Amino acid sequence: MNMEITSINVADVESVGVRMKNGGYRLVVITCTPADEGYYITYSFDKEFRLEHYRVTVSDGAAIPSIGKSYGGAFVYENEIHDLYGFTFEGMTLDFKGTFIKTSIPYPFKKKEQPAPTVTIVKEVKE
Amino acid sequence: MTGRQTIIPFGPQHPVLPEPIHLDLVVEDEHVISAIPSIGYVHRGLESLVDRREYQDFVYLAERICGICSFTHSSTFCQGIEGMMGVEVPKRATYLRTMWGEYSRIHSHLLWLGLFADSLGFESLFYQSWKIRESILNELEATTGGRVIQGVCKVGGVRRDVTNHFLSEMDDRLDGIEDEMKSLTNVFMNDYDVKKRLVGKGKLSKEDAYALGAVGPTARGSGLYIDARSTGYLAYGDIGFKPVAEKGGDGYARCAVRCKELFQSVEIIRRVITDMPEGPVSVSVKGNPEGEYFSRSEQPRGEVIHYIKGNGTKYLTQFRVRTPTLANVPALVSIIGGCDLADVPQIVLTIDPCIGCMER
Amino acid sequence: MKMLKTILNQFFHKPVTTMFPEEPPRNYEGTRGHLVFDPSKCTSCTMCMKRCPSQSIVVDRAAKTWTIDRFRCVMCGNCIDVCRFAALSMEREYSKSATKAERDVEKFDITYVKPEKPKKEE
Repeated sequence: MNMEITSINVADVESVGVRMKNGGYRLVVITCTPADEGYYITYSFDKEFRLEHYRVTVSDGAAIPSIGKSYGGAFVYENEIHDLYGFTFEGMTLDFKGTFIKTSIPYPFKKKEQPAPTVTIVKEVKE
Repeated sequence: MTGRQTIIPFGPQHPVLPEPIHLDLVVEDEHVISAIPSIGYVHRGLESLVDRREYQDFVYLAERICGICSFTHSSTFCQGIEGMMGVEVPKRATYLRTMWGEYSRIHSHLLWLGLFADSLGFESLFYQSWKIRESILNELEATTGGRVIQGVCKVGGVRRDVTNHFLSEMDDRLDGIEDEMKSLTNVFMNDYDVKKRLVGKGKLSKEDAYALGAVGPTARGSGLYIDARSTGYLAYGDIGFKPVAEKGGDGYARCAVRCKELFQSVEIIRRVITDMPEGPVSVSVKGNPEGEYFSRSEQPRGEVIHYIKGNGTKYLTQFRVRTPTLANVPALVSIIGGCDLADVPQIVLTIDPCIGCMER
Repeated sequence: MKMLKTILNQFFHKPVTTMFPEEPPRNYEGTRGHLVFDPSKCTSCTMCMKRCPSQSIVVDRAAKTWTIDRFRCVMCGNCIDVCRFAALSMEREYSKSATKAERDVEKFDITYVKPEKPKKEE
């Protein structure tokens, strides 16, 4: 499994999308993961079963250009990241404006100040 | 054509859908112009439990993401952790995992054929498909202990072994199952009523399928030879594998791809049984996972990606699943534009929606 | 003609499903049915409580009881793999359906007696 990840800037996202589309690559997934400072958004492309990854580092609430002009199917991943983490993507092909996944807490996967307890005790145990 | 547009909800409750998804259809005089999907009815937030269960126990959670494709979720998760930690799984364990994965694929395709026949109104064909599926579930229960949730994968191998005597008996039973499947797929491919409802409906061209990111039988029904099993993980590298695809791009082609994959899976199981190596079935795993990994495999519905991230403790930090149904939703939106209102249930079913996995 | 053969077949064929209350249900040797606990072998190490993915086992070391909530247990078998003293095993019959009022948590008293170590010769 190819795990080399290339870092790019936020402004280069659209040009990477155009380059991959012309090269015949297929969009596989857009992942968002919390890092030490801010978040990493990783774009994964595939051609003939070799994966290539490009990574952008963003801080809370940043706006990122969408690759919807090159890849029409990217709106699914971008809306999901918007609903769960709170980033805005500009120029999505189909914009749900926050109603793609409706949750009772807004942006549930954001980094919280107090992390959740590692082991949940569901019932009261008399020790 | 009056030119007035109404919006008809194709709701979360519908007799045809196995799981809830909502589509708002923009309709003009019985022709559908476009569709807007709306998901989130079964979102359980399974990914947030990852920092509360140890990584070895998380396999039991990963296999309960979906009821139909449960074995491939647990096998992909174990493959991800083993790749991240650099664990070498014994050969017999990879062959056993391949065998169970192919049984899982046969049972999922038979389930889809039954549901599809039910959506057309052909209920006796529905019952015949599920009758064959029962014999497959019996095989799974005899070897793994569970019919739907197998619980047999663990990090480092598999938990149970199958004796060689049992494997040769299973080979003989497969002949009977294959004959029954031949007479079943004959009806789907050649019956006049079924063909009238399928041919020419829901066309997806080859360029659209590649650009929108479709995977699985949805893409292979349009002439694309995309299959994650060609990368050669588990035992597919030793056996050699070629994907099955059909040109045509309509509902009939997708149904034909699934019927042909049934027979291809039976061939793969026979090869695995004859080539099964001897040896142990698991290795013990020490230490904790660290780093990140993208693990990829082929579910019955397409290519699934598990992204796992660990930081050196026994709890993982992040787990993300991208299921094939999520990748097929843009293709669904593009297929539905331009069809008739009465064909919408069939067309939604031809992409094989598994909403439970899509919104874990 | 083929239709006639199918119709005659349907008249004389045995039903494919099992007639459940009269015949017992079919399951196999390795089927994961329900969990059985042996109180005389448990040393209260609480490993099964830590490794249960659905948190259905509660072990109280001070009061020496072992409780299982049958409705939470998913019969995965992780506790059986983890227990070093062979106090847990799996039977093949499925548990029957019930309501919470009929069958809630089950409590067992641990009756393990630690065998005495032979005194070392000085």
